[in-house]
Amino acid sequence: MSEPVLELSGISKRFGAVQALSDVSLRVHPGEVVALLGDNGAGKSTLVKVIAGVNPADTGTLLWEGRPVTVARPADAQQLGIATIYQDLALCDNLDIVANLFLGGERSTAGVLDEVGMERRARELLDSLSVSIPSLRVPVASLSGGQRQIIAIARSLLGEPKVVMLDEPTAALGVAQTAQVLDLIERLRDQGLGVILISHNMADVRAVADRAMVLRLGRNAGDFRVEDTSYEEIVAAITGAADNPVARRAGRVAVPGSEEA
Amino acid sequence: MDTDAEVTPGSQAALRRANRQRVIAALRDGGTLTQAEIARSTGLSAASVSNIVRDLRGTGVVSVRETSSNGRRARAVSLVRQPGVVVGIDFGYSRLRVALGDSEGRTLLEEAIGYDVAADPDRGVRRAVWLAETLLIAARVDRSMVTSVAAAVPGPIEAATGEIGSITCMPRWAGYRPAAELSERLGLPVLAENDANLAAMAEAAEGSAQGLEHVVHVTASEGVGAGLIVGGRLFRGAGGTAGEIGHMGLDERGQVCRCGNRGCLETLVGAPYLLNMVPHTADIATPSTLPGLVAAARNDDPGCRRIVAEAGAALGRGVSVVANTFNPQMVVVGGELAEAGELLLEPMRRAMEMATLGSALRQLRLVRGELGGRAALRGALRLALLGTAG
Repeated sequence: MSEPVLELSGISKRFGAVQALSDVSLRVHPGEVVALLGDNGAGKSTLVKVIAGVNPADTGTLLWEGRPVTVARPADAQQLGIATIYQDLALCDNLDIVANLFLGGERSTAGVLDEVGMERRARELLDSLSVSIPSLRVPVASLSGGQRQIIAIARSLLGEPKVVMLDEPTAALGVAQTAQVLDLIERLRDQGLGVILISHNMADVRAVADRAMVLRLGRNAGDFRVEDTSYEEIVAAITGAADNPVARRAGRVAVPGSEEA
Repeated sequence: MDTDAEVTPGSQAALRRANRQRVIAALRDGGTLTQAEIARSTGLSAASVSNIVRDLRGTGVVSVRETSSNGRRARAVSLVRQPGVVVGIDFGYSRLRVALGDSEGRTLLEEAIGYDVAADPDRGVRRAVWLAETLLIAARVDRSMVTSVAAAVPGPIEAATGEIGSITCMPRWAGYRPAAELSERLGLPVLAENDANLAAMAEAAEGSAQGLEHVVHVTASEGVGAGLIVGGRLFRGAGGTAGEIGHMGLDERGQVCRCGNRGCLETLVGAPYLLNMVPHTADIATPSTLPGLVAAARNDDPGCRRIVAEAGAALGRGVSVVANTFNPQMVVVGGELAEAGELLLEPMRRAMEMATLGSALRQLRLVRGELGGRAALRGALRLALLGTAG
């Protein structure tokens, strides 16, 4: 496989007495969807914030396309080409789709907003993602949850990132809307982007992810190819059942042929 | 001996599930049984049976009543409702439908999503598995309660290999084995059948052709296919590909078809061919999908009406051959093109009057399917139920 676009190793992060991450590694290749899984408090959000530059790591190295880089601020991450879409989406409900897409990056010609140019670019972008939204001039408040998620993802793509991190993009969405977001994730992969998908929903992960990276109590607890791994194996890694001393002891005393009711 | 791998929670869960299935199967066969009888017929220990019965009672699957057996206290267990959920999956050209059904054949939950199914069979199957899993979670149905899964695919399935034949409207699916792939991903037994056949089964069982013995069901969407009900049973033919009427030659000067022949019925009624005929007018948006074309025809667009009418006439000529061969009581038309209603059926009827034997025509009714786009999905649920019974 090609060189990873983003590779983290030995990442540790401590908040006071809490060791949130210890010696965590993660890599993402171009055109690959990596699911980041873990129980509550496993360190998923902390790791995302390390990558996004919100909470830089205490120790550890970050390789971007093979070169060591430091990500100390969110702007560093954006400059490299890492886009993060948080759960709250950070959209302005009262503004229309075009205004939201270009918020903070408005284009102007001769001091006047280039509304036509921005709308054309927005239309191109959404077409390239096969997203059909009848009017780009409706307020975002009138869109469905799935459409809002898609607009938030589309906005991050205007900066032409190489890695997109999605924090629980399908939580609280209906079936059809979740399907749209999954379609979009597939399209990002087809366009050669690396995608980091944080999700609690195993069905969604099995539907689009190539690899599943499991965190448990701030440490790596497994890295699986989704195609070759059963649902149970991944859940066991998340819950820690695979390395549970009780389970191991039970294994030693199990009598072959005995029943488990 | 290192047995760690065998006792991961995954496999324990699997064993527990299998044992629960065994108890339910015993109750299904034997009706009301005492716990001791269940233990004897399943080979499980009395303690295991007791645990499983307690769990099943907690979820409302079985009822328990105190009784006596040979003068000793005993607990009689019987099934409250037939447990077991079946899953039906319908692979359309650009649409995926999944439904959950109960053991009586009712639909519990149904969902359709748009998806480019034709582009890639692996992705289509992966997404179908996702939709099925998502519905099972939404309905709070444990996977162990699923007894059978059936899938409708747009193409003939070769009985011997389970492969989709090479003449399908989704060429990338040719040679693909949908049942095996779905089964591997879902971890459940899966049956697959041609969607035209399943739609015919559904219409004959619960739709327009209810109670009839001899029915021809024509599905006209991306391609065209027929399902034949003969003597009340689905007629599959020797290799499972009966009813492929899309490739009967009707016009020796027509277009060359992807099957290699010229002027096949499909080149006269298949969606891509019809959409190619749409006249391009500058001021009106030209329909680019079959439903769009049908909607335009219903809105009195003269060009689209003409296209639908000619498709109806061609379909009538093709179906006449089938009507002469099988002498059915009813011809049911389904699929996206059938949404045009009488705009399609009227010219079709006239063409059939010209080309069908009077004796075959006398008892023949031509109607539009009642189940519409859900026919194949309903058929898949029925097939899953039959699969459970058989």
